[in-house]
Amino acid sequence: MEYKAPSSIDEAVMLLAQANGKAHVLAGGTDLLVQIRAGFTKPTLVVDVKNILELRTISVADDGVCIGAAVTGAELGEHDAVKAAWPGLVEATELIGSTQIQGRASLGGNLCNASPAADTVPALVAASAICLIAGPNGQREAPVEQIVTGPGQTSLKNSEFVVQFQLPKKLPRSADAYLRFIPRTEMDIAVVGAGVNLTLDKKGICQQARVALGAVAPTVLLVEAGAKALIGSTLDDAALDKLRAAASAACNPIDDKRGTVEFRVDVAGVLAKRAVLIAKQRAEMN
Amino acid sequence: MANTGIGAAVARKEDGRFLHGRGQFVGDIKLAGMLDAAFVRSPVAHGRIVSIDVPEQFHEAVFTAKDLTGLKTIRANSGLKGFKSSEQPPLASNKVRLVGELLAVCVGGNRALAEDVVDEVFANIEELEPVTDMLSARAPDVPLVHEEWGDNVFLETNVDTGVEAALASAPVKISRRLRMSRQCMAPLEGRGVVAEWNHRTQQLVVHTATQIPHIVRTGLAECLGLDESAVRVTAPDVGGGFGYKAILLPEELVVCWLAIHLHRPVRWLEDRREALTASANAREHYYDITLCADEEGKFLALDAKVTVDAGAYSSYPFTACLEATQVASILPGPYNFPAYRCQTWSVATNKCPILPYRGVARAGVCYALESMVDLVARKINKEPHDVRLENLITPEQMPFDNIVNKHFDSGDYPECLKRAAAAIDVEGVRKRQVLGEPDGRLVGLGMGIFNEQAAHGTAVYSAWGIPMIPGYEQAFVRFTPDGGLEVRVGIQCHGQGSETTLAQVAHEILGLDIESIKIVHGDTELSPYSTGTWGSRVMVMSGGAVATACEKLCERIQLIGAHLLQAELEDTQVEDGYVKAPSGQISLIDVARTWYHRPQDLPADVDRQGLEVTAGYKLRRDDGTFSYAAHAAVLAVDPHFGTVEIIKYVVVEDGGVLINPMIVDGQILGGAAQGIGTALYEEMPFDENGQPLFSTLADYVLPGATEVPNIHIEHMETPSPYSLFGQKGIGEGGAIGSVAAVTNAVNDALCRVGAEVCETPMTPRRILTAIQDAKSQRESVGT
Ligand SMILES: Cc1cc2nc3c(=O)[nH]c(=O)nc-3n(C[C@H](O)[C@H](O)[C@H](O)COP(=O)(O)OP(=O)(O)OC[C@H]3O[C@@H](n4cnc5c(N)ncnc54)[C@H](O)[C@@H]3O)c2cc1C
Repeated sequence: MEYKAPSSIDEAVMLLAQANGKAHVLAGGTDLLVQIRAGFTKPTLVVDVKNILELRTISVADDGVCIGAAVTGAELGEHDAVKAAWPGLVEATELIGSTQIQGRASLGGNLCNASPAADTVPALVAASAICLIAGPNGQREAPVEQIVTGPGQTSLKNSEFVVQFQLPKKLPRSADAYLRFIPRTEMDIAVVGAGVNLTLDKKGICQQARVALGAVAPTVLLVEAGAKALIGSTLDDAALDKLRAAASAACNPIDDKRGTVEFRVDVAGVLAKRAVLIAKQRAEMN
Repeated sequence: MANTGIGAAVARKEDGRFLHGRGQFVGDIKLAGMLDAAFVRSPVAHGRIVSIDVPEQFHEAVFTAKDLTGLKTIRANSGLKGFKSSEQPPLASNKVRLVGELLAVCVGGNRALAEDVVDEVFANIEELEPVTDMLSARAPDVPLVHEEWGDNVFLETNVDTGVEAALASAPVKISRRLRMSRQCMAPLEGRGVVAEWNHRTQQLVVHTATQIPHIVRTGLAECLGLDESAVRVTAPDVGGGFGYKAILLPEELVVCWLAIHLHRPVRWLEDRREALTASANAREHYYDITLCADEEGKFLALDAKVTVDAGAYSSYPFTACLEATQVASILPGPYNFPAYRCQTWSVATNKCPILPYRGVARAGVCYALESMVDLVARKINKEPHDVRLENLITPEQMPFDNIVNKHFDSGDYPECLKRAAAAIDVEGVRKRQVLGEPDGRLVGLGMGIFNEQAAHGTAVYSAWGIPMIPGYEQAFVRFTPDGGLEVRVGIQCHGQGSETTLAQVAHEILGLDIESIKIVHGDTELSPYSTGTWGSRVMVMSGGAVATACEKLCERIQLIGAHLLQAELEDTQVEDGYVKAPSGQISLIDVARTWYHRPQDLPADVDRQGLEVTAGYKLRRDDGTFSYAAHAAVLAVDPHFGTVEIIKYVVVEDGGVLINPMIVDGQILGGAAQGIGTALYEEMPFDENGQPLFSTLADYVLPGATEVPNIHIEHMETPSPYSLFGQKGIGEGGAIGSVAAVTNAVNDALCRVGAEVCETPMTPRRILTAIQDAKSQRESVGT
């Protein structure tokens, strides 16, 4: 296995394009190294992207926030501007693993590892994040929800990788939130995850909403019916009940010992509702 | 000098090496030429072995049952009448009776190579229908785990003092079916063994992660057909045991056989998957139980049918019946029952043998009994702890012989409960419950009180039919020429801090600096024979033996000192490291130097036994000591997620005289964490084919640091009249009362919505189902 640590996007693209055999991008390695050690994947080339500036930078501009794909959870958690604008995404990121894992784990890795239970993905989807993708044919953009196509599978072409996540400009009276359900309180993989992003008007009526669920289907679900239930309402009990029902209805979970189908479906509804309430409270304050 | 004797919270002597990462575990032992072993395990729960196919090129590296010449099967027979014996072959030869049973062993230069060979071995097994449920296992026409038995019952027992009258007329009669799920013990370190043949000493030297080196030695010698003197067992640092390391493993036997026959050291280190799926199983009780009381809550009778899923084989040395037979003798708990009946079945199934786990039987018993007490209280509208107070044995009754002739040695159970109730603030919680929580969660309060028979001796274990019965515990002490003290004990310390507490005991007698007292354990070659560390016995039994040996040594030191001081023996005393006489004093070091290096200074007729003593100790009564404790928990249940957060947790414990209160606290904290696991998280389920469903710690949920609350501990110190210093065994208690406190608190919360969970662990799914069921029931009643 060869290890390369290029310092530019072009160099990384070239290395990946020229690789013969299996090549992997390495960010924090908290998924990849585990998989290599367990023998699940045997790459001939590993391209460490942590030396590429664009992937390690967070930039805040008028039209939104850009987060490098290899920025670590710890870095994101200490970034006041991002925390203020996207508290839900940051809380999702900070749920990953432990302090040690936080020092390494990245959004790019969380997304491209393509686990149905990845914590940041529902938050990214709810936030309408756009991926900037680099590849042999230059750079392109794609919404986050188009990246993962199934467990362990992405729509990225060979030698493509995610450079950064672009989050839209944050509107007044809007906020996001993420909640997950695990059997314990720490260090576990989501049985269900729910990300919500809301915009209210001055009267508290919901203008825009996005609801995304993790771990209840092969890929993260964008629950349009859930958003519909919220938009136009004051997020009253009736709207929340509709949202809860829509979220439950959207689920297509697996039945395993970590959670039966009924349990996941039920919890998904409650979780989405609670995430909405948190986002609402935040939105009312800004 | 700060007190370092009995009662002092001395920092643990052994922690230096652990904190520096310099502990020496089996996995740290590397011997030249060592091979690693990996096992081919049965993929099916029940089947007949047709063939085990080994490709030609691997014949040298693979061994099956027919290769293991001279190796006997493991038999652990209960002495109780009606017990049916099981034979556990080290490698299965004819039938397999559980998923994970050993079929073949493969060796390689390292574990990975050995596992590669495992992948090449094909076991052709004709599947048989498995027995996976202990209740249906007793039905007629079910498959048989051991055909020759005619049924699936290891042992049935009966106790009956006559309960029919109470059952017929009791004003309050509550019945339930309660289940405690199968669990896995999860010590940080798994099992592991390295074996080699030493040509010089003509000995098999076995380094194994065990709590019972001497018993393992006996078992190995028996099964391998060797003289005991040809087997040396050492247990190096052992990373937690909890009972899982108090058994003789088939893997140990196989590795030893290989080492002897391959003339090379052989090692097997268990991985977590093996531990979870094929070995470390425990508990799994089912109670069909009825508690009768009068309108005031005074108990009139207890009636139970208890089934324990003992798995496929009887494990050495504690047998398949330790749980069930204990249940029958301890189910009445710390209460006064005028009538009692208990029928038990130890049932064989196609699952892992269950092994003793901290709080053996008692965690289940306390859960079952205390659940019933709460139900009675709810029925008569009384505070559960008032019902408990109504029935607890009082200090005036001590020592007390209960309905099954358990002899409770001492203590004030009601006071213990009252202190727990005060510390948890029962009234405050009740008020809070009336107000309700702003977040909609349901708050519950639960308690569990129990007494823990510990350090029980010969008569008790022979009554339980256990083949390995503890008698006297011995210690060897040697005063070294430089004035240090070597103490050798046959127990094994795997986290209990005995290297410290036993040194404190020796210090108490001899007054030597505890830094110069060295506790040597875990090596059959170096220590007196002992049944080892289990049953909360070390501090009482081994502590007693160390003290007795030190006292004898003290007499000899005093005699030499008196001579050197030219004083009458009666005029001397040993104190603060000196032999003191009116004429002057001499340090113990000088006594030692004189004995070893200047014998010319001693009279010709000096006592020749010298400064080495082996002495034995036995508790004044075989019943042992009875420590006791009340655990109390307040928690909040989320009615939509079914999750539980423990808000407050209190333990009031009476361990008699505490040798080292800090270490006692550690034992309670660790045990309580395990009990919280039993109550809320830990479960090893099997599917209908007998497949264990969890194989990693991602599925098998252990409580982590954030699930275990801050635990407030209070001590009472009622000395046991029967132990040397009044100390009582407390090693297991933490894991006993905690299950009941937490489960009772969950049901106290759920009763507010008419729901009840009758099974551990009380997982979110079970709690939600119970809430849902209660709701449907209300609705169907409403319509
Ligand atoms: C102890 C532990 C606890 C964990 N807990 C959680 C948790 O609570 N929640 C959770 O969601 N996850 C958890 N994880 C999984 C993991 O930490 C996260 O998925 C993390 O975000 C992965 O990021 P990384 O930078 O380490 O990815 P890496 O391991 O470096 O990469 C993961 C995959 O993504 C690919 N990749 C990485 N970066 C890019 C890129 N820029 N473009 C294209 N492909 C890329 C890699 O090739 C690889 O296939 C845990 C892992 C561990 C070891």
